[in-house]
Amino acid sequence: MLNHLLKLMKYELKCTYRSFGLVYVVILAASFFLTPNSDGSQAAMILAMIYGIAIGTLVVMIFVTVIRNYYTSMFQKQGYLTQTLPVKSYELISSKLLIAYFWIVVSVLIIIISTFIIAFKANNASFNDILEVIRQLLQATMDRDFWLILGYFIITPLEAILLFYLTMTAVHTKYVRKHRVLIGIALYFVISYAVSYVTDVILSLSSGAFDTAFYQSVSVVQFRSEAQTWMMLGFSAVLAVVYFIGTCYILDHKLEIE
Amino acid sequence: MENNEMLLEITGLSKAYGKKIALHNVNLNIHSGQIVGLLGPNGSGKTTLIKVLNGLLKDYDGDVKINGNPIGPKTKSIVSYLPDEPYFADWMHAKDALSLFCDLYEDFDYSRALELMKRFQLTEDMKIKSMSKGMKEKFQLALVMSRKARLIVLDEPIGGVDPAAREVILDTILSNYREDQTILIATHLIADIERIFDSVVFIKEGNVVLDKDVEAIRQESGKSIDELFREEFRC
Repeated sequence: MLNHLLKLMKYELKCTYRSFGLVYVVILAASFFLTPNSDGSQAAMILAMIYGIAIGTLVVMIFVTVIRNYYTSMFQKQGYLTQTLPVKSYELISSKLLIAYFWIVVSVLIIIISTFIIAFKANNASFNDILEVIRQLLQATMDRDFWLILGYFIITPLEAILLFYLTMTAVHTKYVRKHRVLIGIALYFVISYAVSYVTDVILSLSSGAFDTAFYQSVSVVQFRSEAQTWMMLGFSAVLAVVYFIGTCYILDHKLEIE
Repeated sequence: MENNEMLLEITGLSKAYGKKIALHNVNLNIHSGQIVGLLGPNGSGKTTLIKVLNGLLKDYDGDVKINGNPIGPKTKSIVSYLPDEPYFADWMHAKDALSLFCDLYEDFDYSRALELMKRFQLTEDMKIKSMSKGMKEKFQLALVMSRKARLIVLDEPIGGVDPAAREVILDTILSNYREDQTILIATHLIADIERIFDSVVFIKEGNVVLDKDVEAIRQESGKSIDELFREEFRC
């Protein structure tokens, strides 16, 4: 299984790296040449604009690449190749999911690095200043909140991507013959709305669970919100698993490629 | 040459697209070691049947087994499929497709693929996007015929190519065919291809109307497959 997964991921990377490489180069190059304390010259303004446009382009590209790559490789002509490979559906979905997530992580890192480059240049930072920032970041990992935030950064994008996969796959069944894109978009919003409604219900019910004297004697606001946050994180993880299983089930039992 | 091993077993296969019946109660058994023609006009159900065999259509009634297994990764590992249109991504060079087949199909013969590509005047460095339609089809055929698959499924392999290319494709199929393989060829261009068939299956409006050995047909009717086809499917 791992062998197949790694090979599929290799092709996913080959398929997608061209989309991002150039934008990463533009962002990093612009951040090196941007001088925040400049005198507002036209060249500096143009460079700042290029930087901003590149960041915006990157954000849009992540969405477009994730969605378009899945759709074309699974359900358009390329689907005749993808869907006839001797691999299990969960291997196919996992390879696409992991590479999509990889590009999200790399893109976020590129944006963070470029921001740091600009910030350090603005403050004329020395090498020791950079080391101090790294030290503070490492110290932050000892904080409980850090792991909560990290959990969100891992699970929330995975859940979002898997919901896209589920809705795009669900419209390639015998139940949807026309207007697949429109119905897929509608299905995405319907499921998202349903999930947010259920989330609100869970949050309001769980608020009641903390109304005891014990919890009121501690720092109530902090503890209540942290427990609920972990609960929501768990709920997101469950949703991600449900979307994954649902997508695989449709591919294994209900798929129609035309 | 047929051997007794049953490779493909289809029982009661039915598939509808809404109200349109694409396949109706298809029963078909194909043994190993044959070249079988799946013949019928456009819209008769040939491609639907082929898609079921390759796992591109999952929601159907009936039972389909290849080498005793239901359609899935096991059957896909022994079925080599040539669709009626090219299926490679535009970013690929020929060597990327070769590498993909090498990585994911254990029965892929890389050196044979290169030989066939050479015969078709194709090189590894060619970008698939820059190939003509005919070149893409030949390239796909080279990949498909370079697998030592038990079942090779060719959907309209000579449709959309010029007569000279058709001869090259048919010769490639015959010269790379192994006696333990079964080749299932779906086509409506009978006259060009009937010389290579061991048996034929006529499919009309989703129903199998004939499933017979070619020699038996010729002896019984005194007609070629093409003549019989024209009679059967006369408008």
